Amino acid sequence: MTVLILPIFFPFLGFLLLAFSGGRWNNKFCALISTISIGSAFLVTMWIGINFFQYQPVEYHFTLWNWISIKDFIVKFNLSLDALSLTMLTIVIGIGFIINLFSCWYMRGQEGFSRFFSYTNLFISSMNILVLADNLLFMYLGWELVGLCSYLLIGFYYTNRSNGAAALKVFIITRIGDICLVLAIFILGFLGSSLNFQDIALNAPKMAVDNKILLEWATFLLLCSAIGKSAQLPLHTWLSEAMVGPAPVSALIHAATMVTAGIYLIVRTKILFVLNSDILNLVGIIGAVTLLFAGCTALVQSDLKRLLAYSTMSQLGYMFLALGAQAWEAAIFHLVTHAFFKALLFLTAGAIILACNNEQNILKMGGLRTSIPFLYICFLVGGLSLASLPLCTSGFFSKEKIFLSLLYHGNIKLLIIALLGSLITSIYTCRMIFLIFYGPQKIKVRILDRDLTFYLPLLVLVILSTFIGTMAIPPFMNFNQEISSGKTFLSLELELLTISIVLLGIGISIFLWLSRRNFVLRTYMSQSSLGRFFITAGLNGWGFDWFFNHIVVLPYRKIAILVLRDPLQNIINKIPHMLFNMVGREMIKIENHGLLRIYITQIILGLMLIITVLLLM
Amino acid sequence: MISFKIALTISVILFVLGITGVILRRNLLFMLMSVEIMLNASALAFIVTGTFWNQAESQIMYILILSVAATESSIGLALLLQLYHHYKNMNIDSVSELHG
Amino acid sequence: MVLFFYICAIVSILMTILLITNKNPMHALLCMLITILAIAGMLFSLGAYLAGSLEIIAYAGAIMVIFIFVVMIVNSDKECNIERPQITKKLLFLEIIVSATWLWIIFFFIQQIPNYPLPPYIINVQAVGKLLFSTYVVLIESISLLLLAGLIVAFKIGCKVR
Repeated sequence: MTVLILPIFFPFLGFLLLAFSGGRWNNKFCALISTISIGSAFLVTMWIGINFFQYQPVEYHFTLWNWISIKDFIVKFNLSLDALSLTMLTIVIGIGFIINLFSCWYMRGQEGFSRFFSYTNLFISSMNILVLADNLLFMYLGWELVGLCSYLLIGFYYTNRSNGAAALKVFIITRIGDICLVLAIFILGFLGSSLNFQDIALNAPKMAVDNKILLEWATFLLLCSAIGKSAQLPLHTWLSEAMVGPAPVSALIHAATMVTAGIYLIVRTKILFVLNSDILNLVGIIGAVTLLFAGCTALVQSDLKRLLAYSTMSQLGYMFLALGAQAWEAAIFHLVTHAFFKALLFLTAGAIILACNNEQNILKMGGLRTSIPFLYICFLVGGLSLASLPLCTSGFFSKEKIFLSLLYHGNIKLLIIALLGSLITSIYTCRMIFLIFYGPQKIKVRILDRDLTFYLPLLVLVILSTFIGTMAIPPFMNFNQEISSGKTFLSLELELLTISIVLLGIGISIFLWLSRRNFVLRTYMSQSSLGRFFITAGLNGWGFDWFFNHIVVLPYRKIAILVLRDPLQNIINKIPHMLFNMVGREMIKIENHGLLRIYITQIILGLMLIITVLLLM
Repeated sequence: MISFKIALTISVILFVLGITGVILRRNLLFMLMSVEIMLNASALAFIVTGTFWNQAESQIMYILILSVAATESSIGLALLLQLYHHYKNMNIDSVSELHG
Repeated sequence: MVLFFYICAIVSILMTILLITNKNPMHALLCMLITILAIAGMLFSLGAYLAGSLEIIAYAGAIMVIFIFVVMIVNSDKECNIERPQITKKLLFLEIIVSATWLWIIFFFIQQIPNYPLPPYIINVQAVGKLLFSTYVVLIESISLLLLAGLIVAFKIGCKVR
C-alpha cells in the first residue's frame, strides 16, 4: 500500500511548484498545475478506495520512516487506512478537487492567483496527513499545518488591515485548542508510552484502571482541542471572523473539511470517550448548546457569509450531539452530507456576491430569482438540504440518523433540543432564501462570464446534495447493522415528527417573509423590546467577543504594556553598571591596547591553565 | 625503535616554536606561517598516537586538520592582502585601533 | 627508519627556528617548505603513508603555493616588510616565560608516560577510506561545507572593496 503516500505527495508537489514559481507563470498554467496535482491525488484516492472495498481488509498500515526514537518511546511516520480515514480522505480530496475547479473560475484575474492555489494545495496535503496519520503526534503535524493554511488563506487579501487582524484572531483562538491537544498528547505519552491509535485503544482500559484522573484530563483536553478546531462553544468566535477570505476558502476550510477535524479526532479516540462517560455527556451537551445558540444567531444575521458560518456551527453541533450519543457513524454520515451541501452553499454564495458587486448584506438583495436562475436553483437545493427537506435531500437522511441514534440512546432531552434546532434551521434557511431571491429586486446584477469550471463543480455538488448523495457516499463498516438493530418502535413516529417539524419551520418562514401581508407583524416583532434585544445580541455574537475582550485581551494588553518598559531589567542593569563604574573602567583601560600578540598570549595562558587542571584531574 | 615519548616531545617543541613565532613577530605573513607550523605539530601528535594505538582514526583527524589549515590560510592570506592594500605594509599593529 | 625519523625531527625544529627568526619572507617560506617536507618524512617513517603524501600534496603543493603567490603580489619594496620597532625586551621576556611554562607543563605530563617504543604498524589507505565513508561520513560532509565556506569568505574578503 505504498500508494497511500501519493494523496499527500501530489498536492505537496503542487504546493512546492506553485510556491517556488513565485507568480512567474501565467494564471492558466498555475490553475492547470493545481488541478493536475489535486486531480491525480483524487484518482489515486479512488483507486485506493476501490482496492479497499475489493479486498475488504480492516486496516492498512504503511511505515514511512522513524521520526522519534528514544528508548521505548518510538514515533513513526506511519500511515494507516481504515473505513473512517478512507471516508475522510475521499471527502477532503473530492471536495477539494471540486472547489479547486471552481476557484479557477472564481479567482480569475485576481492578484495572487498562484499564491492562492499553492495555499490550497498545501492545505489539502496537510489535511491528508491529518487524516491518514497513524499516531497522535504525526496527526498533530497535520493539525498544525491545517491551522497555518487556514491563517494564510483567511488573510489572503492581506492589504486590508482588518483582514489581517481577523486572520490573527482565528489563528490565536484555534491555538488554544492546539495547546490542549499537545497537553493531551503529553498525558497520553506519560500514561501509555505509545501514541499509536491502536495502542491507545488497547491500553485504554488498563490506563483507566491505573490512573483514572489523568486519563479523564487527557480526554477532556482532547475534547477542548476538538472544540477549538470545530468551532463549538465557547471557542467558536473565530468561525464568523474567518469569512473575510475568498469564498472558495470558506467553502473548503470553514465548511467542508478543516472544521471537521475535531469530529474526526473524537471519533479516532472514541475509546477514551467511551471510558469517560461524563466527558462523553459533555460532548453531547456542548453540541446541543452550540446548536441552539448558533441557530438563534443565524436567525438575525444579515451578512450572507456570516449567516452561513453560523449555520455551519450549528450543523457541527449536530455532529457533536451524535458523538455524545455514541453514534459515530451517524456523525460521520452527517459530516459527509454537510460537506456536500455546505460547499455548494458557499460556492453559490460566492458567485452571488460577485454578481451583486461584492454586496454581502442579504437585506439589500432581493428578487434575484429571475436574474440569476442557475444560482437560484443551486442555492435552493443546498438550502433545502441544509433545512433537511424530507425524502429528497441528503441532509434529511443524515439528520434522521442522528435523531434515531439519540432516541436509541435514550437521551430524550437532547433529542428535543435537536428537534428544536431543526425547526430553527429550517426557519433561518428559508428566511435567507426568501430574502435573497424573492420580493422586489433591490440591486443591480452584474452579468458573470461563465464556462465549464463554473458549471461543472456546482452541478456535481447539486447532484450530491440531493438523495443521490447518500448513495454515493462510501458505505461504512457496520453502519447499517447498527442502525437497523437499534430500530425501536418509535422510529416511524419520530420520522413523521421530524418531517412535520421541518415543514412547520418552512411554513413559518413563508408566513413571515414571503407574504406581503405580514409586513406589519414583522416590523412589530423587530421593533418590540424582545425582538430588538434578540437582534442586537445576535448581531454581536451574544457578547462572546465582548466577554473574551474583557477577560483575556484587555488584561493581557495591560500586562504587555507593563512589560514593555521592562521594570525588572532596570533593576538588573543597575548592579553591573555600578560594578563597572567602580572596577571595570580601570580594567578596560589596561586591556585597551589593541595589540594582537598580547591577546594571543593571554589566550595561550588561559589554555595552559585549563590543560593543567584537566591533566591533574 | 622510535620512542613514543620523544615523538610526542618533538611535536610539542614544534608547537611551542609556532607559538613563539605568533607572539614575537608582527608581520602578518610570519604569523600565518607560524600558525601553519602549530597546526602541523598537532597533526603530527595525532599521527603518533594513532600509530601507537594502531588506529586509522588519527589519519581522519589529520584530514580534518588539513582542511582546516587550508581554509584558515586562504582566509588569512585574503585578509593579509586587504591589509596590504589599505596600509601598504604588513604590520599587524597598524590595524590595532582599539586603544582607549 | 629510526635514524631517518630523528634526522627529520632535527631538521624540522632547526628550520622552524630559522623561520621565526628570518627577516626575508622568501627565505622564511623556503624554511617552512623544508619544515613541511621534514614533517612529511616523519609521517612516512611512522607508517602513515596517506598522511605523509597528503602533507606533501596539500601543504607543500597547495598551501605553500598560495603563500608564495601572496608574497609575490605584496613584495613590491622591502621597506614595508621591515618591522621597524624591533622586538622589545619586555615582549621577549614575556614570550620566554610563556613558552617555558608551556613546555614545562607538557613535559611534566609526558614524563609520566612509561617509555614505550612505537610499534611498526602501517595504516593503509584502505582502512582509512573505509572508515571515512562509513563512520565518519558526516565529518566528510562538514569538511566540504567548511571548505566551501572558506572559499566564499576568501572571495568576499579578497575582492576589492571599492
